[in-house]
Amino acid sequence: MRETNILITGIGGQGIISASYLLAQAVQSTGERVIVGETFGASQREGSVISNVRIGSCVHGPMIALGTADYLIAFEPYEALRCLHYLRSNGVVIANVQPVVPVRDQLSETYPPVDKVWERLKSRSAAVYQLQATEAAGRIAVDYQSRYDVTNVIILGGATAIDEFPVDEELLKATLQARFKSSSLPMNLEALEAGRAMMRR
Amino acid sequence: MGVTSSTMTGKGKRLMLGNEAIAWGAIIAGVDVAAGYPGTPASEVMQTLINLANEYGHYAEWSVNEKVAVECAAAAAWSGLRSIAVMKHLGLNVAADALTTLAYTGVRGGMVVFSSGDAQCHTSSNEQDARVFARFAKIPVLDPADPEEGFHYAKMAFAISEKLELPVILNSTPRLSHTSLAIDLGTIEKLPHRKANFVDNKARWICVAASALERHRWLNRRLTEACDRLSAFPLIKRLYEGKRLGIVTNGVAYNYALEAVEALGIQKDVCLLKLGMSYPFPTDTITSFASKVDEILVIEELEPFVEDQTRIAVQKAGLRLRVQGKNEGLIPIEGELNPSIVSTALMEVLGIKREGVAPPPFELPRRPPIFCPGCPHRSTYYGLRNAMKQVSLRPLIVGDIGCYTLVSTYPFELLDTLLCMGAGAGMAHGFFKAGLDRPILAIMGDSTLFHSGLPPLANIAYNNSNVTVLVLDNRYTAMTGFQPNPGTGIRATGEPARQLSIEEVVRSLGFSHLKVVLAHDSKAVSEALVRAITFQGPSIVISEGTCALQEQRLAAKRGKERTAPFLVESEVCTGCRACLTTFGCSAIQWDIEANKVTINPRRCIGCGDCVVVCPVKAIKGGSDA
Repeated sequence: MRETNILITGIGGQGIISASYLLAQAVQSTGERVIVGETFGASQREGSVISNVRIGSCVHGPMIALGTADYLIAFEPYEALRCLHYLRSNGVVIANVQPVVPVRDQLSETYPPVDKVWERLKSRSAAVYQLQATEAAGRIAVDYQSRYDVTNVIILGGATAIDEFPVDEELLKATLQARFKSSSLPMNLEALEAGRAMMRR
Repeated sequence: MGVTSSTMTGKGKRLMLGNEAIAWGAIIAGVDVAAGYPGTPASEVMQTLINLANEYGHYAEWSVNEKVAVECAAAAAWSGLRSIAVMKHLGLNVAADALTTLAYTGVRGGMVVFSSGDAQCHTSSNEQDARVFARFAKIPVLDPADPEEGFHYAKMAFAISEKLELPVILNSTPRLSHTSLAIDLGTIEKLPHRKANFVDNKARWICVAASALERHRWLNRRLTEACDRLSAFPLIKRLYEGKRLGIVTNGVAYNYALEAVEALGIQKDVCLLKLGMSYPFPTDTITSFASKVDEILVIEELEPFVEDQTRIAVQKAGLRLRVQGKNEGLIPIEGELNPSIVSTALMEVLGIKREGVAPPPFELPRRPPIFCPGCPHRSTYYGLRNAMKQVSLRPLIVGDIGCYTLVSTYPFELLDTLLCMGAGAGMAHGFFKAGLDRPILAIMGDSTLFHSGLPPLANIAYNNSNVTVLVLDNRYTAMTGFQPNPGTGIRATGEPARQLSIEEVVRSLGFSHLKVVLAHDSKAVSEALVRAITFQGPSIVISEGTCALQEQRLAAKRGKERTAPFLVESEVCTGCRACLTTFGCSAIQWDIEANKVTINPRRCIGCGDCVVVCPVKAIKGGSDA
């Protein structure tokens, strides 16, 4: 059986580790072998974070080899670019459009313009899905008067709209139902649907 | 410890971190006492043991440092109990004084020292190899390769420890500790807890002079016999039947070796030997393996530890074959391994040519971690920088380990040195006695103070060093996951404890020039620091402010509403960027089109620390919003 490699990246505090667990939990519930390898030393402190989700009976180690990721899920466009060399040729990018540039780099303009990021991502992949996840998460948080950020569920929801993606809508929904208390479940289900709606557009 | 027994029911496979799996292994082995000090990537072993302490009846604590944790666990093991001490690799150094003699005395109950290393220095100041430490301390070391092995090795480690009557190091890496896999805990009869029983044996428990020398002889005999004594334990794996290349591997590197062999399709050419225990070294196993292959490639992370011992074994046996690895530069000593490195090394040894598939990485400036919005340290350091402008010579800032180390990052960049836990105060004293002609300021966090800060503080006070110590007290060991310490007022398992007052402690050490300030009052911080730095003699400023992240977590748990965010009045903002270049809260953003700053209401937690930063008072919120 072929393996599926999903690299999830973003900035500490965005919910990357939780997202990789939701994904892994969903896969695991079907009985398939899944490994998650995380680098979260800088988690919640706005450093770069990478999580490797590997699916398949033949996966052993926690790290995706360079050039072998089938999906690059990025919570921030520059972090997508930083990890692009992990993506296989014709891999798929699912990325949040909201850039977050460190203060110093905002002032010195050391990061390339974000248009260049998208150009670059498109040049090396079969498809780039751009999601307005931060904006939608802000709206949902206000609607539910919640302090939690559902950006990660929106992006995962978006990924489930891709036919070949190893986790589909029903599976992710079931995983959210198992994971969240009844009070925070509706908000997460709405986030899932918001992500899917963005993919339909 | 009371004697209890319980049966765990299997709930099928559960996805868990390597660290959690290891903790479960210890619980199923009947661990009675668990003590540790937080440190990434080791902390979750202890946290899991703490979370399950009530349910499974073992004792669990966050000790003040790793040496104390080892001593606590050792006393339990001398009393016949099973114990575990948990730490990151650097903690082994702190505990070394206890561990190196503990090998001489040995233990009665099984004792496991869990150490998680940090190949690649993801979150550590070095990447020292715990296997080398184990050999130095003469303590057997087990190296599981994945969370499932971690679970089984943790169980087995206690039995091995009792079989050898020696403590055992269970060696992990970030790629085991922070890897998750579905694990079946099974339906397992959990071993009952034991009753402590200290058996008098002065020749063993009083390790000094002649008795110590005799114990060293005993230890050496024990280590020589170890591999034979452990022959029943499944510590060795063999795969494939090829002859051309023998692969010897150990720890997480095994996974990369497997993947590379499968990806390259060289199963017929190779024979693989995986060692689950790298010290004492299974010389006979290696010799017999070496006699069946044409040459050997050793694939392991960090030092050429197995490689060098393999060379010695081959040479001793009089075999004539090439052993390759790090000494030939095929595999780097520095940094962590990955599938690509291992695959490249195998291709080189076997003469396989293949086009590289991955493009080079795109070079972007690094994104370092920074202080969180609302972090009390940011306000303290804003005060520190203002204080530094008011003293004639720029102080040397001698650093220490914790969130507050991020004073090295933009926009502060004030840190001059960083060595290890407790070195801030220790080295500040040294810089003063060396005769440096500028003020010297040590920084130190609350957890670090209790961990290894008290001896250097006593040293400063007693030897009358003209240094200033800035204690950044955020009430938690925040960097590693908000663990409590003696300054927090609760124990690991949640019950309240008498909070140790840092103020009272340092006053009793002899710091007469002492000032306690609120971290969020940067003006008060600044004034206190100017006075302390200009004071002749030991001085200390304690800046108090609870970790903002932890405060928010607790508030969310209590269902408390978010504090309203602050905002920038754009007609008042002049676009001077002072808030960005001197304060640098990530909730404050530069609007390139408007040439002004804005506050991101989703990021801002409403601390208001930035109000004083704005020279034109454009930031509004709280009571004046």
